[in-house]
Amino acid sequence: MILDYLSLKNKYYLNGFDWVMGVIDIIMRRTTGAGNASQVVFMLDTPPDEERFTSSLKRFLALFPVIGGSVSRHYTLTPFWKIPKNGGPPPVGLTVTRLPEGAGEADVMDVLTRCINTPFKGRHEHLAFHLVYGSGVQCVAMTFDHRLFDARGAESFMNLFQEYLSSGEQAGVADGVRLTQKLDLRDWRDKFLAGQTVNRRMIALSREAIRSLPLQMDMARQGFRYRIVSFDREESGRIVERAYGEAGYLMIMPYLFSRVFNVMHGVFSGRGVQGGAYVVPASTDVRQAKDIRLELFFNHNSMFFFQIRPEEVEDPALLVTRIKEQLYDQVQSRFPQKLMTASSLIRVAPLWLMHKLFHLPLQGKIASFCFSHVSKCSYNSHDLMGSRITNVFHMPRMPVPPGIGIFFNTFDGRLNASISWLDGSFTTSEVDEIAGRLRSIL
Amino acid sequence: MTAEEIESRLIQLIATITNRQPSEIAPDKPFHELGIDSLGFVEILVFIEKNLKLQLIASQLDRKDFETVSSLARFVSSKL
Repeated sequence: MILDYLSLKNKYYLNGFDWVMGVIDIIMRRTTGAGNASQVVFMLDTPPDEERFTSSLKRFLALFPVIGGSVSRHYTLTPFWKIPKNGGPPPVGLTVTRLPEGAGEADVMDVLTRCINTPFKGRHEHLAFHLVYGSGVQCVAMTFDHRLFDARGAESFMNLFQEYLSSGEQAGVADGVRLTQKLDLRDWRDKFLAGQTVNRRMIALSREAIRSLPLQMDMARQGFRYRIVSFDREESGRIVERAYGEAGYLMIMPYLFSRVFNVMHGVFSGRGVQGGAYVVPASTDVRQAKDIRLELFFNHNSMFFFQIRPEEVEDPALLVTRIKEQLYDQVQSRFPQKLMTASSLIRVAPLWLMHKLFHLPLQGKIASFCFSHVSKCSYNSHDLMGSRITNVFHMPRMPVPPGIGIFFNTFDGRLNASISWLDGSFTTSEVDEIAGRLRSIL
Repeated sequence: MTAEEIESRLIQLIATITNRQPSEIAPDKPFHELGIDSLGFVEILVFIEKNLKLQLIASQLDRKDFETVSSLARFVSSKL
C-alpha cells in the first residue's frame, strides 16, 4: 500500500494500456516511418489569427510540463512517464501552411496527411499543431502521440485550451488536471484472473484463421492516407433513425459496425480473400472519473474484440444480431475492464520484447481491420479562438497490422467516418468504393 | 419489485454511467438526451439481467418500451 504512493512526484506510472500503446508505437515507427499517433482536426469558418493562436498556445502549453515527458523505469521495473521538473515550455511542433489561391478541401487534406505522417522530433516531442489556410477553408489540427492522449483526452485538451482562451488566459483552468498515478503493484490475484479470461478469449479468437488483407510494407511509401466521409445534420439524423429501426433503440454503434463489415467484406471479396473469419477490435472508453481533468492525459481506453464469419456478413439482420450478442457478452463479462487489468502484467517486459511477443498469439495477423466509434465529442464549444467550428474529425494512424480502419465520430449532430489506410493497402478505386458504399448504405 | 423501485435503481445506474448526480436524471427524458449511447444502453440491459434475471437484448427493442427510465421500469416490472 505504501509502495503505491512512493515517489509520485514528477512521475506518472503507466497503466498496461499505456504500455500497449508504447509497443504499437515501436512497431509503427519501424514499419511506417512515424509512431502511434493521431490527429484531431477543427475545420473553421474564418481564418484564425496566427499570431494570437501561437502566442496563446505557447502560454497554455507551458502549464503542462507533462507534454515534454518521456518513458522511464522505476526500480520495481514499473514504467513511468518522467515529467520534466522545470524549464521552459515543452517542445511542441508548430506549422503554418498558406495554400495558394483556389486551394480547396482536397489540398487542405493533403497538408493534413503530410502532418500526421511526420514523425515527432526526439524523445520529448509528443504534440504538434498545424494551422492550414486555404481558399475559404481553414483548420487547426493537433497531432498527438497516442502515448500521451487517447482520442477523448485529445478532444478534451483542446476543449481546455478553448476554456483557457475564453477565461482571458486564466492558468486556473489547468487546476484539477491529475498528473500522478499509483504504481498499481497489488491485487495480483485479480490481475492474473483477468489475464486468464483475456488469454482464453484470445485463444478462442485464434482457433480460426483471421481473414486479412496482405500488409503492404513498401518502404518507399509507408505513410497513412485518409478519406473523410462527412454527413450533414439531416443525413446524420436519418442514419440515427435507421439505426434505431434496424438495430434497436440507441444501437448506433452495432448499426455502423454492421455497415462497415458489409463494406469491408466487399473489398475482401473483391480481392479474392477467402477462408477464416473477420476479427475486429473496437476501442472503448473505460474512464471512471466524473471530471475528465482527472483522466485527461494518457490512455483510459480498452478494447472489445468481435469475430464474425463471412457468411454472417451476407445476412444484414443476422450480422446486427451477432454484433449485439458479442457486445452484450463482453459487457457482461467485463472483458474491456479485464483486458485493462490484465495488461498491467506486461509492463515489466521491455518494449522490444513486447514487439516480438505481440505477433505470437495470432501469427502476426492481429485483426482484419480496426473500428472505432466515439459517440459524443468531448469538445463542448462551437468556437475556437473566435472562429466557428464547422466540423471536427480524426485522422488516426491505425495500428499495424492491420494498418486499415474506419473511425466514426460525431460533432454537433454531424457524423464523420474517417477511412485510414497504410499507403498501398487499398487502391484508389477500392477507397472510392468504400467511401461511396458507406454513403449509400448508412 | 415495483416499477418505482426499478426506476430508482435504474436512475442510480444511469447516474454512474453518465457521471451525473441521480437528481439530474429525469425519468421521463429519452435515454439519448441523458447521454446514454449504445454501450451505456447495453450496460443497462446487463444490469437488468444480472439483478432482475430478465434478458432483453435478444428481444425486439420497441422504442416506446425502452425510451425513458420510467417506460423501461414499467416494461421490466410487467415482465417480472
